[in-house]
Order: sequence, then C-alpha cells, then structure tokens
Amino acid sequence: MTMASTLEPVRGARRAKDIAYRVSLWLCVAIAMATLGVIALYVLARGINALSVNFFTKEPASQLHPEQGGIVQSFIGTGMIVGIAALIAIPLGLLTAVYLAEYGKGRTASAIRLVSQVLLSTPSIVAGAFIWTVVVVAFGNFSAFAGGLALVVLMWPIVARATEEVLRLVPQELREGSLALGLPRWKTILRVVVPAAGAGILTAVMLAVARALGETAPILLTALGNDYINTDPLKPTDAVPLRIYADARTPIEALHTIAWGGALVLLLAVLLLSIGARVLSVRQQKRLA
Amino acid sequence: MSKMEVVDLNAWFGTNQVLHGINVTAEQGSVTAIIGPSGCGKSTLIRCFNRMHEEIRGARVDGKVLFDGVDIYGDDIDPAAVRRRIGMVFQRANPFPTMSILNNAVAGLRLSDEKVSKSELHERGEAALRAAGLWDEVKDRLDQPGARLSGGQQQRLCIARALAVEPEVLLLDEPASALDPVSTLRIEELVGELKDRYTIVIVTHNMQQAARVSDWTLFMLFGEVVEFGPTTKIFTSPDDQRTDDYVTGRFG
Repeated sequence: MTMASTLEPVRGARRAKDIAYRVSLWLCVAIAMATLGVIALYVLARGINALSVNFFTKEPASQLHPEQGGIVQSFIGTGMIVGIAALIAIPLGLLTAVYLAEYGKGRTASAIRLVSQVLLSTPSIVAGAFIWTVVVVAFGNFSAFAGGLALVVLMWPIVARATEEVLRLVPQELREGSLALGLPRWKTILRVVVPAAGAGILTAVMLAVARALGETAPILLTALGNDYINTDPLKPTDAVPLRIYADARTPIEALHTIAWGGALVLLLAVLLLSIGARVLSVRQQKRLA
Repeated sequence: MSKMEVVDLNAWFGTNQVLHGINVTAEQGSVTAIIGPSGCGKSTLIRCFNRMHEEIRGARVDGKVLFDGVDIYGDDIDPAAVRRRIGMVFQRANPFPTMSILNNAVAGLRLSDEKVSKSELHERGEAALRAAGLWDEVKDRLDQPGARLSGGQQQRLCIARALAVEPEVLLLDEPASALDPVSTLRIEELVGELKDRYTIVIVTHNMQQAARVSDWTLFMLFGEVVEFGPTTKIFTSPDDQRTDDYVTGRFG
C-alpha cells in the first residue's frame, strides 16, 4: 500500500458509522436535556400563579380561601432545619475530609470511607427513621432539631467525600513548599492546602445544601410539619417539601397550586446553588491549572 | 567542622533501597553540587538534608545527617525546626496560589508567627525579595498573586520565600531545570551572590551548571557516591573512570 492510499479521505461504511455514533450521542443528550426542560417548564407553568406577596409572607389561610394564604412558615422552617443541619454537617464533613485526604491511611480511613459510601447510598427515609427512633421517640416530640439531625446523616457524607476529592487535587508541591518552610503539618493544611481548595470546598458545601433543601422523607418523620410559624428548634416545624407533600395530598385545587409554587421556589433555589457551585468549580480549576 | 555532614546514609521507598551508604559534606560559605544521571538518587539525597524525604508515604531513612554536629534524625528533633534552619527550593516553582507576591515571600514568617507586625513583614519581605534579585521587578505590584509571575520570577519568589525564614543552609533541587536560559543564568548568578551567607547544596543534571556554580561536586550513580571532591578536580582530573566518562559526556 502506498502512502497516498493511507491519506485518502474517510468514506463509505466508516464515515456512516461515525455519523451514526455522533447522532446517537446527540440524541441521548437531547433526550436528557428535554426531560429536564419539560419538568422545569411544567413546574414553572403550574407554580408561577401561586407566587404572590401573600405566598411569601402569610401562614396558610382557611381551606375555603387557600389562595389568600401563604407558606411563610415553610420557608422559615426550611431555613431553620437546613441551617441546623449545615451547622453540624459542614464542620463534621470538612474535618472528616481533612482526615481522609491528609492523615488517613490504613484501616480507620478505609472504614470511614466505607461508612460514608454506605450513607451516601442509603435511602433518605432510613435516615429519618433512625433519627425518629433515637431522637423523636427518646425526647417525646418532633422538632426542627430532629429534622436537622436527619439531614446531617445525608449531608455529612456528601461534604466529606466531595471535599476529600478536592483536597486530593491540591498539588503535592504546595504541601512540600509549605513544609519546607518549617511550617507544621496542621498549619500547612489550614493555611495552604484548604485555601488552595477553597472554591472546590464551597462547591461541595453548596451541593450538600442543595440536596438537603429538597429532602422530604427524613424530615417528614422528624420535623413533622406545622401550619403556623415556629421558631423554636425544639418544636414541630414546617418545611417547603413537607408543605408540598401535605398540600398535594388534599383534593383542593388551590392547595395544589400552592404546592406547585413551593416546588417552583425549591427548584429555583437548587438551580441557583448548583449554578453557583458550577461557576466556582470552573474558577477553581483555572486557578490550580 | 563542616556545616553539614552526611554519614553512612541509606534511604528507601518502601522496600526499594535508593541510597546506599552515602558520605558527603557541605562546607560553610560554599556551593556543593550533586550530579548524576536521572534516577541516581540526587533528589532523594538532597531531600534527606532537611527531612523532606520522609514526607513521601513509605519513605524511610537510616544513618546520620549532621547539622553543626547535631544529627537532624536524632530523637526528639522536630522536623519543622530542622526545615527552618535548612531551607529548600524545588524543581518546579510552587508559589502559594492564594497569596500575593509579598505574602508568598513572607509566608514562612507570617504563618509560623501570626503576631508579626505588618511593617516588619513588609521589611523582611523586601529584604528577601532583594536577596533573591526580584525586588526591582515586583516592587510596584506586591499585592498581585504570586502565580501571575513568569516561571523564572516564580522560582526566584520561591527562593525569596525560603530566604525570608533566614535559614543557614539552602537546598536547591534542580532549581533551573524548568526554566529558559536567561532565567537559568539569573538563578546561577543568584547562587553566586548567596553563597557567602549560606551553605548551598544544589542538585542538577546539567554538568555545565555544576561546573559554573559549585565549589564541591558529588557524582552519584545508582544510589551510590562515585566520587566527591573539589569541582575543578572532578571536572578535569577525576580519580574514577566513571566520573571521567560522565563529565566528558560519554553516558548519561
């Protein structure tokens, strides 16, 4: 075979195969994106009518005129429950990640990794049932605090594993540069490695918060729900997903609209967090490159 | 007494022994070059001079490294304290990406003692940047990220960072191997300027560089010392045939 023949343009069966693969790949992407788009648009269409000043500022009105009420207690409750969860899960997750990425070796580290892996794939209702048993039953009442703890079980492994990955991406040379200055290991981690991974860690945290925002099952068994504003973390508390669940189960059309409104707000919040996380992680990659 | 003296040093990565019975000295106010082909253990050896070798998982050392007569591998010796006295610059410039030029230069000071005043940091940062020959190029943009400098400037920033801690010994692990010829020349001049005040050990696989900058040369092969002596002797009339073959470019 001569040189010229190997440089002939790609034709025939090979070209057809190439096109077929390209088209099927694009099709897969299109189907996935379309599904997402349809869901988002549908939620938008059904929920947009619920959004009003009352929706964000009032407690539920009587079932005769539900459209005059709102779900402010759900927003406050979600803020409180996710806040409590974040306050516990983020420090715990970060410490776990630092241990796994910087110190952990051998059996202890493997065990922790296994546990967090199992927790990551545990059905979230199990987290709720667990906290229901050890907190709600033990203390005798449902509460925002119990709801927060149930979310910790879900958030902690997300923060820990995602942060561990980010810390591992920090070049070894930076650690060595710091250690060679006579800085102790803990200071090297705290002042050089963690700041270098900063945006990546924030991404991990935001993803965990986004996940917690939409969780229903764990708080259903622990925070219970509430028709009124509650700011006492030790009392039953409402949350947006709980309100969606409760309203959607009624036969009242206007309450369905409110449920869609709640869904729309949740969707937007999660979308914003995810976009924020994405932007930060792109920046992070640029900085370490 | 030599500033540093390595006595019967062996080093391992896991079960793989990479240094075999190394003996070498580094004299105050002089430059000692470590040369040899890739994989001969140069970098491992220089990393044993300030206990950086043990930072690699599974790495192990046996033998003595004396600093002013004290074994840095002795019991109760804090590796961080060793590294404050024996500074190091690496092959690839590694400025801290989250810090400004000035904060990079004084990172060792600032992070080891959080109470040092701003004016003192600025003063000592300037001194270190001047010593590293970088001051004139960066004095108007000390607040910019250190990672925005050119490769050669970044490496001099790393030298400044090492000098700011005021070590007595400076270890340079192929400091110019990733740099262009002009930046390389700049680093070599710097080594000449610094050697009066510091004891310098430099690893290089560039023989001409060793010949240009060093007073003493150690030639290594397969993790062993082949020959150690004054640089002029190593390059003109070595005792060992293998040294002669290497410095005349017959292998490596």
